Amino acid sequence: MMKVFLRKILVFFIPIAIVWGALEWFYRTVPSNYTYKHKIIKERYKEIETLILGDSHAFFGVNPSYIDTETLNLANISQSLYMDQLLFEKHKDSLPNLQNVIITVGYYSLSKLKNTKGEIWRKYFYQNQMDLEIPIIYPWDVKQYSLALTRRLNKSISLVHTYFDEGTIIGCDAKGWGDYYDSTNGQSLDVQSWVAAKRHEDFLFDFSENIARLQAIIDACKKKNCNVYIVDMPVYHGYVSYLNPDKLEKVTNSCKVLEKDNENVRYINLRQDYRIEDSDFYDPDHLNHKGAKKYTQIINQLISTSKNDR
Amino acid sequence: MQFNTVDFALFFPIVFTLYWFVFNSSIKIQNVFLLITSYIFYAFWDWRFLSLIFLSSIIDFLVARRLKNSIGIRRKMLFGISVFCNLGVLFVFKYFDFFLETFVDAFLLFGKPISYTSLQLVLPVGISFYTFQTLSYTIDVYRKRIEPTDDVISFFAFVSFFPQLVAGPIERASNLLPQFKKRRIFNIEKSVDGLQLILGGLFKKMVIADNCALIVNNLFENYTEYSGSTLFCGAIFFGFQIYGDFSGYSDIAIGTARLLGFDLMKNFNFPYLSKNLIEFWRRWHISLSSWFRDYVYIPLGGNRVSNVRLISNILIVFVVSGLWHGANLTFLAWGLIHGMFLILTIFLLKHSRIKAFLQTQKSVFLDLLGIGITFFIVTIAWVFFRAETITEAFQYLQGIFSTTLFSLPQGNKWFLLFLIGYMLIEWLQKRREHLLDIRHIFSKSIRYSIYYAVVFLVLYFGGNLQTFIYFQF
Repeated sequence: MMKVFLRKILVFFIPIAIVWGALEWFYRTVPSNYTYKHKIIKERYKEIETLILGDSHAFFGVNPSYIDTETLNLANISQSLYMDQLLFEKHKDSLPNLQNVIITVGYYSLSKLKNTKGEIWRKYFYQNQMDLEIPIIYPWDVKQYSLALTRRLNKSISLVHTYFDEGTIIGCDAKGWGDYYDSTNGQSLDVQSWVAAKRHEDFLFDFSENIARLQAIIDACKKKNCNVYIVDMPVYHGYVSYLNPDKLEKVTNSCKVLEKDNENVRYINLRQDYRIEDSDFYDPDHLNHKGAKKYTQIINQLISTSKNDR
Repeated sequence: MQFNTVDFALFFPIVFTLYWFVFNSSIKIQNVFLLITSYIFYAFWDWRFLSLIFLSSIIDFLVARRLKNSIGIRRKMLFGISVFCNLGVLFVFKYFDFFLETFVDAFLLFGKPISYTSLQLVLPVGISFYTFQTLSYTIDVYRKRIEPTDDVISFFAFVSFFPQLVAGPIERASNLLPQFKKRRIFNIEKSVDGLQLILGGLFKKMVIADNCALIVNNLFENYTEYSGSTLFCGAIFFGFQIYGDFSGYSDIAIGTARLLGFDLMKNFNFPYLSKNLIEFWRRWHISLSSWFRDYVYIPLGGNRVSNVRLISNILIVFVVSGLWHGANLTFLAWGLIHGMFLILTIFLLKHSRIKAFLQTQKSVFLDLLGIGITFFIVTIAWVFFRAETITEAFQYLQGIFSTTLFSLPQGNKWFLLFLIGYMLIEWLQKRREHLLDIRHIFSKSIRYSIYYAVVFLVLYFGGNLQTFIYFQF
């Protein structure tokens, strides 16, 4: 009886195993943002003078093409300061010409806890596709051995669909800038502002861990005689109105303290910059092509001025 | 380790294989294996709290053995020790801070502030479940309904049996303990039934509960921003979330146990198809309802008492039941609402005219009306269960019963339709053992198509991993 049962189970699971195997093969063979960025940073180790770290605000909002120095955008969607630090630690010694590090911070960057939200599955991709050692992945965590198990099936299918439609799932250019944004929402910026602000609200005020991570990057940069630019990227005014002003002030003050305490740090607060226009955005907190060009030029200008001042 | 994780998907097949192929030479070895496995399973949450399970098991094992030959005051004292230790641990971990804070708040009302230090202990997963399970054993031995066991391994395995350790069903020793003492024989029909239960449970948890959770969390966090109709839908979604979450867990637990050759008691029986609240409580969390019936309600006199006593008995049971769920006034309010409406239902159904009418007039329309009214009461009560505070619950209800109640609800209409479709399936399956009990479908290809469709839905819409709600109790 047991044999019959086991045979039936095995037969039942064959189609499921085939789907799993196919998805695993897809994830292991099709280049993604992670594999691509890992590849280009290794290829350009000796050239890179400016490195961009951060989450989607940096990924879509800072275009290396408008920065005077040789720049690579190593930011990624939902990339936390925890991952920024791990990435920087991994590559810093291989970047002999590094002069500047640009890190974006936003409303939630400093309070974000490790291993939450987007990081729950992304950490496996950083490990497998960017060759990072991730301490929050335990040795007995089986998901590290199968990328297909880390994502929901609907997300995987949608990714496969994108691949067959567009021939790639890489969403960035040769310098790592995010040039593909799925803006199918259709809602007005005002409506989206409330939704985005609610999504970004974590009610956390403890910045200590992320400040320590930033400080670690800053200290490493000091040793390399390299400047750090902490950039608070422009956001739509409606979005700011829904955020907690006390927390926003704390973000600003924390960055100012870092700037004050470290000679190699400059804090660039563009959050409510006077030049912001509605047409600069995909959505309330992400710059579009036009916005990215405009604000990367502004950041570039500020970096150049800052260098001349020092 | 949660049932809906890859970890469990690997853990259980290993346990299954070792259980049936390696440790099958004797029951004792199988029981030792089950005990170790159960402790490992629990240790995935917090190994430190294994000491509490061990403590609870050893006290009840020893007390029950002593009870066998004790009489008079010694017998009562032994029983008291067991109750004191079990409820004492539960009180310290679950209720101490709540009662302390309520006490301090009460003094503050009279202008007398008291300084205090709360314990702020982490609540051990499943403590209410295994405490009630071991307690029922001692009570049954004390009442001489069952004989105490001499087999320490069987007893420890009974207390910590991993499929139902952290969220029930709360088993009775009279049902589960004898199963540890007799040889388990693999039964293919039982095992297929177990797999159906597991698949159905995963569907309820991962497709229904976890997707409802996303909507519910947003609505309860931002209830001031939404219309009455949307908030009402939010309460309905929560009703489905908790149902999918808890009954899904129970189904997986029963199915898992069945694959190991054990029969656990049924915990849910299509509760949202209940035609009145009495029926609802016979179908919802059956293991807890029957626990309270046998160990609280009947000892209080049950329903063979005056009306005043009957009312107070029901209210006591529901207040205790509310508090069992959590140390918060919201759970107390939830219990009271159910208690009050249950009393109303009992008296209405006792009324001779209504009784006669219901006995003579049987129609689908009346059934649906009863189901609708019961569902409405249960849904409103869920608001108290979900809200963080009593004030929040009232504000949420205020939001529901506003002028916007009759406007079109915002968003999630498709998911609401999906839930209505799901209820239709439950309606069709209501005379079956469980949701995926499709043995009556003769065609193998249709049966397998249904299984694959459910697997697809679980994998496609699931994955938004949420902790089982009842683990916190």
